[in-house]
Amino acid sequence: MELFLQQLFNGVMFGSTYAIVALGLTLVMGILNIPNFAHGHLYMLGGYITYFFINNLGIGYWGSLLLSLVVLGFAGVLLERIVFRPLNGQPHINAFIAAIGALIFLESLALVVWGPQGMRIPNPHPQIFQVLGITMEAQRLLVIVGAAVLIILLHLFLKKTTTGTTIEAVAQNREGAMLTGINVNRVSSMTFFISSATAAVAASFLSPIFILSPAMGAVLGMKAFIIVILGGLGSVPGAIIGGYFLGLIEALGGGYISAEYKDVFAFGALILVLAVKPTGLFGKQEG
Amino acid sequence: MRNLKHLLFTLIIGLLVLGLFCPGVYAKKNVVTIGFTGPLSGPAAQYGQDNVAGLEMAIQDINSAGGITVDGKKYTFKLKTYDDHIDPTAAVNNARRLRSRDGARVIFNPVFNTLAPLMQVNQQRGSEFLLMAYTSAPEVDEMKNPNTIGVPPPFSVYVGAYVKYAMDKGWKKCAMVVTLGAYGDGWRKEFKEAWIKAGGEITADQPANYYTETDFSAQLSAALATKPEFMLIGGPSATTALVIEQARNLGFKGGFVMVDQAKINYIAEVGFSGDLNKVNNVMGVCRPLDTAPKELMAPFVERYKRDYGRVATSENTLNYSAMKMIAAAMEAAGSVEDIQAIKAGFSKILPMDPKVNLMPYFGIQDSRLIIAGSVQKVENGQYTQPMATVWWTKTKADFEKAVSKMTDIGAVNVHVPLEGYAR
Repeated sequence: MELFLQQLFNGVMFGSTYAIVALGLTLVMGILNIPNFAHGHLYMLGGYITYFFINNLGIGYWGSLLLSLVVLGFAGVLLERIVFRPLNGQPHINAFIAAIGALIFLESLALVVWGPQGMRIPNPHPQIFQVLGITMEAQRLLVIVGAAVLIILLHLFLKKTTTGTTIEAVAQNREGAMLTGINVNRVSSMTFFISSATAAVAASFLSPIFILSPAMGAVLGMKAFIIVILGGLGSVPGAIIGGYFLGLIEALGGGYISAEYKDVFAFGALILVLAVKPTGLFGKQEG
Repeated sequence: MRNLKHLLFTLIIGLLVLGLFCPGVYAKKNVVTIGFTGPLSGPAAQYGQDNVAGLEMAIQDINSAGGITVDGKKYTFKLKTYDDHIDPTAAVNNARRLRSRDGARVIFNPVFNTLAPLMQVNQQRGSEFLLMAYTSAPEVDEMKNPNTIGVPPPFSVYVGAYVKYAMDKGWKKCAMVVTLGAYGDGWRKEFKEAWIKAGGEITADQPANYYTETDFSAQLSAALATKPEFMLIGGPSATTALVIEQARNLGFKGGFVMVDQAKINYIAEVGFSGDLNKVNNVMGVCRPLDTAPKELMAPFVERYKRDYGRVATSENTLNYSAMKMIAAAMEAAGSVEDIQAIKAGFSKILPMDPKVNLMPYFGIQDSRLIIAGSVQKVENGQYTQPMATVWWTKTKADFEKAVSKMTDIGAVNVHVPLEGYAR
């Protein structure tokens, strides 16, 4: 029972990160209809930016998190402006290639600036709690709570504010949104800002428990893609539920059956869902 | 007039193009190219770059001392590196390019997955090269490739040392959370066999991907549920630090022994910002500072930190030494191209004065350089005296003879003859 609860706790923590990273990815997907392969690498960059503020400028953890959120948000805007916007209206394959180019650029950039060695952000909340026989690190609890708060805030923003609803409008029908006078380019920039900023938050939450390395974005980026496809392309609830789902599958499958097959479970679930419901759990029907 | 100008222009362009196709035009005289192919980007980038750094430092030292003299001619060295992302095809292509275009006769590679295919091509007539294999995988020796030299000791040496250490401690129950892949699988298999043979018990075997994962709670929770007294862990150092931290946070109080890829000093420095108390009761491959005479090693470690901004590991020190030995072996062989003669040169020059080659290499046996396998642990926030394992001698008398000839590095010398190697 203790082992089960411990694995459950780990699964929820991982699911939280997956959910926020996938959320950013699915927003961009919905708006621009392009898979931003570089999303995981933006996450990596967010971790390094937080590291920079904490270690080089000596700013506190929470201050660094906020600064990292803003800086990476603008990095995302820049990426959209330079890489993706010029390709608007061109065949999709061009945006695909551009995204892969951006990914290689970001990883090499981190390699040149920070070097290949792993780096650590000192853990700001090293306390450990014992509840019901399971071990909870404060920082991991923070990831769970923080992610939930972020998801709720984002939901309120998308549903209750005018600016937020423009994002949904563009996602639903780009031409229609244009006709009603929505500045589609501005919405694109804004979406990239939000998408990158959430990635920065996820990276800042996780980096005190883990280690920063230039290659860390690739793995998470791929998982985010699994989740987005699992949940339905462009679907916000799909990304959230898919995120928690994947986190739990990995933790329970990995803990009880074998960690060697952890990825087999994740991809197996993906294949299964796609076989039964090709549009993903919450995907819209084509056409 | 116009025609003349035209002709002149064409001529110059023609010459330039011609120049492009003959690399000989650029090549300075008497420079020996040393090749390297390995991971320089991606998850294993640091490992590859640490290897390169050792070679660079050695070449810097050799060149600034005036290079080597072979057959009355002076030679200097230059290093040419290519990235292969641990892709076997890329590694083979890089090696071919290094051999044919850059003229390298000696090529370094640090990963077993790429070494195996390289050993298929390094004997092809007319394009032979000496493969300097930085790997502790014992398979390299089983392949009996005459054009290969293994740089570090085979990891079986450490398996023997850990089994002895754990048995002396009175431990019985061991859980394994080791990195996945050919290297980790080899470790798990050998350690399991040796530990069970010695009367121990493996309570859990939960391998994990140290390259792509950062959370090991799933594996660790399952492993700790079997109440082990110690754990065999390890993969890349940075991730190994996380495994130690997460296991301690989950309440594990026992000991750790680490596969040779994980470096105890790196883990303490980078993983725990230098707090040695965080690695108490962890045993691993000896930190560089204690693997050679201190007065030589301390400046090396300093210099590495200064020039590369990183913590020195055996990747730097052993490759540095290997490069120094190659230079000496070329002089002894009287050739910079005849790779068999160069390889034979190793047995003429070893053991060397550590002032020259830093590390206390003892000799060469078939395709493997001989050096004691030193392990060390941290206790009460301090590095303890290392234990140097002599593995290449069979009899007690030979062991004592070897010890009397070895450079004293202040370690306790123990005799753990290694099956298949000890003679």
